Amino acid sequence: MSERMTREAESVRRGTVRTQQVQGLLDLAGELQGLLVPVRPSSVARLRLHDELVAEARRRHPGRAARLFQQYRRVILIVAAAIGSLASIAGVIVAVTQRNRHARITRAA
Amino acid sequence: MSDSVDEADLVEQAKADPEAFGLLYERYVDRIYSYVYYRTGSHHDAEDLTAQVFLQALRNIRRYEHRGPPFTSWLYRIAHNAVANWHRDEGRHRMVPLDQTAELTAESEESPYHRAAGKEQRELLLAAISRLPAERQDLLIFKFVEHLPNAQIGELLGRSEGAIKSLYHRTLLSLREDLDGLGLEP
Repeated sequence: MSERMTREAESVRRGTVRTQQVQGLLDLAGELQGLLVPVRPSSVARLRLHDELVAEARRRHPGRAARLFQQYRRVILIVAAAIGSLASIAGVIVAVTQRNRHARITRAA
Repeated sequence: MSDSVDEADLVEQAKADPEAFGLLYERYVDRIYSYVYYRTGSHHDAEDLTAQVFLQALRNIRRYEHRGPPFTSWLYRIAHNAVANWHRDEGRHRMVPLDQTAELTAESEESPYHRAAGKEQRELLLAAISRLPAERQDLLIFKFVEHLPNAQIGELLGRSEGAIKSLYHRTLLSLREDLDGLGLEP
């Protein structure tokens, strides 16, 4: 009888210890929940880094216009050179025409 | 573009569009900063390392493929490596000083714990956390700061969900023993 009571008392004691351990861990988890809270960078640092990143991203990935220019650079340069040449030729023609007209007017006078 | 933009779409846009990368940064900077802060214990170092993490993400984002795990998993992995390099290069294994926990209180979300608990107890608990192995620190940060589910924590730490539950239990036990050894009551 007394042996059985001893066993039961031991079982209760173990149960109590186990409950205390579990409660201790739950309390600790609660403390961690309160302690480990999200932190944020200062607004200055946050904005600075944002601007640095976007600038770096722009350097690495140029905008649509710049990408199109890179892609068609050769064609654009050839067309621009052709337009320039045509403009020069047109300029020379206009200059010669003007000079001839001026010369005719001078002779007629 | 708003926050409602799907993550996978935003990541795809960010591969070519600097503004979209800026949005990705805005979306995740606080989470990466928190992780790095708790692993270094310094706002200054957390700023530097957070910058490194996002610059590295920018350099490698074209190689990133969205295959299921959230984009943050990829960012956390970069952050984890950056913090590991930081500890290795500097030979530092810093405990979070008390003045920084005070700073933390000022910049963090309000919590009943911070109002009620004493500075000394907070300092001892943070010190005990910093004595844990890196993987266990990561686990606590992912669980309590980032509120990640066990499955994602497992994916980040290369363990199964069950292993994470077990590791969490063992981490609490070892923390409790450490604190009991210091005479700190729960």
